[in-house]
Amino acid sequence: MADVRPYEINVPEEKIARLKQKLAMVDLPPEVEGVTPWDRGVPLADAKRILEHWTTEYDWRRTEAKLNNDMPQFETDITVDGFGTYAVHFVHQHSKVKSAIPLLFLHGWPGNFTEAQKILPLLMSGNGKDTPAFHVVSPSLIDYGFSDRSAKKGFNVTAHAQTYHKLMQKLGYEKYVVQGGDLGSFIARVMVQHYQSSIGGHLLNLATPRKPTAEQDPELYEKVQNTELSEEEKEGLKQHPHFASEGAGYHKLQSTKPQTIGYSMADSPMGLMTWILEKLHDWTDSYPWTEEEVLQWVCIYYFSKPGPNATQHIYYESTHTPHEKPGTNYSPVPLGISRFPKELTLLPKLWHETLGPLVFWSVHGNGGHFAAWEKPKELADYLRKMFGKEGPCAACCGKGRSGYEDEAVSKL
Amino acid sequence: MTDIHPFKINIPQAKLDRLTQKLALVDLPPEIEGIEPWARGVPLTDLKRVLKYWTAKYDWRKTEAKLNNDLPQFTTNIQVDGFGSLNMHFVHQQSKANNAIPLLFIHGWPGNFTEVEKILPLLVSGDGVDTPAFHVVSPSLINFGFSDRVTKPGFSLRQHAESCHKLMQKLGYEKYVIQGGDLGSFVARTMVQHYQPAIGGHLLNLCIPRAPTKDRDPELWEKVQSTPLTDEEKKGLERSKQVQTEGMGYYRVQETKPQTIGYSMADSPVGLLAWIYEKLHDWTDDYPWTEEEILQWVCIYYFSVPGPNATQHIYYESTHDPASGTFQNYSPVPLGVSRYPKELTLLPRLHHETMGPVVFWNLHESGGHFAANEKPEDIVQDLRTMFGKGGPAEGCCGPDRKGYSNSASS
Repeated sequence: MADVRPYEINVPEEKIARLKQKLAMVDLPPEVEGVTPWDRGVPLADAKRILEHWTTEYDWRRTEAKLNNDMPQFETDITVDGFGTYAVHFVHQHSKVKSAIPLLFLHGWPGNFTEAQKILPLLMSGNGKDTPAFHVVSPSLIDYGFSDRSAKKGFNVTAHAQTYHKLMQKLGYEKYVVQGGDLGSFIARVMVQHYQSSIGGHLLNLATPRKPTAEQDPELYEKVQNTELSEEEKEGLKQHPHFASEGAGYHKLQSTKPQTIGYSMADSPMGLMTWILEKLHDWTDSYPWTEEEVLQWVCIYYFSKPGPNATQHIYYESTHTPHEKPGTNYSPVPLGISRFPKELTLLPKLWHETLGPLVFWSVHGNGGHFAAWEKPKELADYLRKMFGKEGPCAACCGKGRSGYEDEAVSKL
Repeated sequence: MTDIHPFKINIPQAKLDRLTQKLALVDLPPEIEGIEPWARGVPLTDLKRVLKYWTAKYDWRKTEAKLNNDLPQFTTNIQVDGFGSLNMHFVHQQSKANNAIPLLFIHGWPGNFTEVEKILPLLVSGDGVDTPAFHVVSPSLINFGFSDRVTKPGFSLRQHAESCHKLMQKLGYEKYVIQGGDLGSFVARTMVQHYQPAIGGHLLNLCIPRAPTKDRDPELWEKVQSTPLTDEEKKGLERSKQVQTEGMGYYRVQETKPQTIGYSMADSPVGLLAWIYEKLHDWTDDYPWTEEEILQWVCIYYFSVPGPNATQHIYYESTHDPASGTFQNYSPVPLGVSRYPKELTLLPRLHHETMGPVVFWNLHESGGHFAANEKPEDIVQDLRTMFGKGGPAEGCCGPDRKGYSNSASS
């Protein structure tokens, strides 16, 4: 652990000055009147409101100080085979309970490492007696936040998976569990292909299993044919088609021309803000985003070490660089699903059995894509249920990592 | 014709100053090394080169003067049902030859009315003896260039068709022909649905027919089954597939969230430049764009009356308008296709017969999507062949508009 360096966010003053310069010179487009708000993108009123706050009230240094205070951060070098050595930035908070469960939390796009901000204290409150305790690691993905830029082509989800696995190992966590959403869920799925013996279980809020087929999954296929979909599953199936037809433009663009959109992202804070804000709105369940929250998320992109356009490249890589072991393959690592109705893709429960042993399935009545941000209590609760002593993954990280002080509570 | 006003482009100095301010503050992203140029978008070296020119050398006033000198421009108000009176800007040049054929040239995205720049002198100078002459009209589509912006939703292909048709009628052209590419081709196809008696024929470079089906087109379908594809058609399908896979990101964004991308387009000239430049490169056949040309195209967007984001909305409108698919319906108006290997969608010839009588079909060895700009002589030749003496659409605008001074015809 010699070269794990403490880290404090300290954005250079010139970057903050540059932002101010640009915000003073924003040119806004007009808007077609009478459209349903958000149908065609961020409404002018909302864009203006956030811009106004950004220009007159928002103080990045305050956010910076808060994050540095509330989230203990570090940086360490990780060598990724075929790519080089990268400085990875991450939050790392230890529980007071030594035998806590190591949890790797993986953010996605347009998220960031602070998505763990709300679940962190909840997980830290696990006392190791009646509630399980967790050690939490929340990295900035490569190309995001305060980690390095990949700077090489081909840095796909498999490369990401290798990076965070090595990070956990470096921190002394031989076996750990994973929670991920968005890109984080895809990375988690590839991790459980390559590092099976290191991962005790994974809880995902987003999952995209393939449909069982008669050839590949004869038994499961039969079961699917003979099982009626629940009301929740029927409702859930409506999510993806809507996302695909109305909300996936960004995905197609980032998957094909990330460099082109990158010019706008780098040059226009307003362009960047609206690009992100659209998803903060569309992907959540009427979550009442404050200007402060929106700007924390946006500024992490604007001030990020790799620059705001680096984050698009993973979409290109995912489409163009095949994985040796795709995330949709079966893995014996126990799988848990925490389901929220405004998630982008919600497929029938049985389909998830193509991914692995489905040991935990929880459906919540509201909430969306950024589960840890919108529904921290619920997500923390699901983690405790899945990995706690009564749960299907009790003591899955082995001796000394059960989450409880008295090892005798282990079911094993 | 009383409210047709001569027009000279004269961008307010404040807009030019704003551009200068913004160009002085550009922040560029880094680039991944070793990637294939243009695979992921505009390469940094190309962008920097054009940006440098824009900042140090480019003089919009020079472009403005040239356009005002070379392209006689006008504006007039056109009533569009449900949208009231909209101001349309257009180029209008008449041939010296009487009886010239009225030609409506319709640009697309990210094009503009100046796409007619190179073909205009060739068409108008047809001597009316050996080569047919044309009167040429090239509007800025509503929401583009120097025409008005639409402030209400629902301005789709139908409305573009209506505004262009009414413009021609207002100019006294009861019957006319059309040349269109990109959005212009969809507008033209919509026009031939609704204004059949007014349109003598249409020559398109982009053409997207539906595939014949057994139910709807039994005879044609049989023919398709028993006709092997030519090499050109096979190549065309590959090109189409490649464009669909790698080049449709802009389309998916513009057809769903035009307002969102609009913030970037309005706020960042460099973002706008990259957005457009990518297509100028990808959609042409190694056309050697000069910085002057690129910046003329980009500045028309940047300085446009509706603003650079208004142009995205037609994608949203046409995707969400159930009637927009009528462009593929059959129309008896004679159809000609001027085909270039780097066009975006190239479908088998027989499929085009679902759209109308395919009276002209010409394959070119080179060229791409912006035919009038890349291959002006080729497309002019195709127009002359299709609409001239001995051509398949000869005299389609009536005996007084055959394109020849002498009304003696073949």
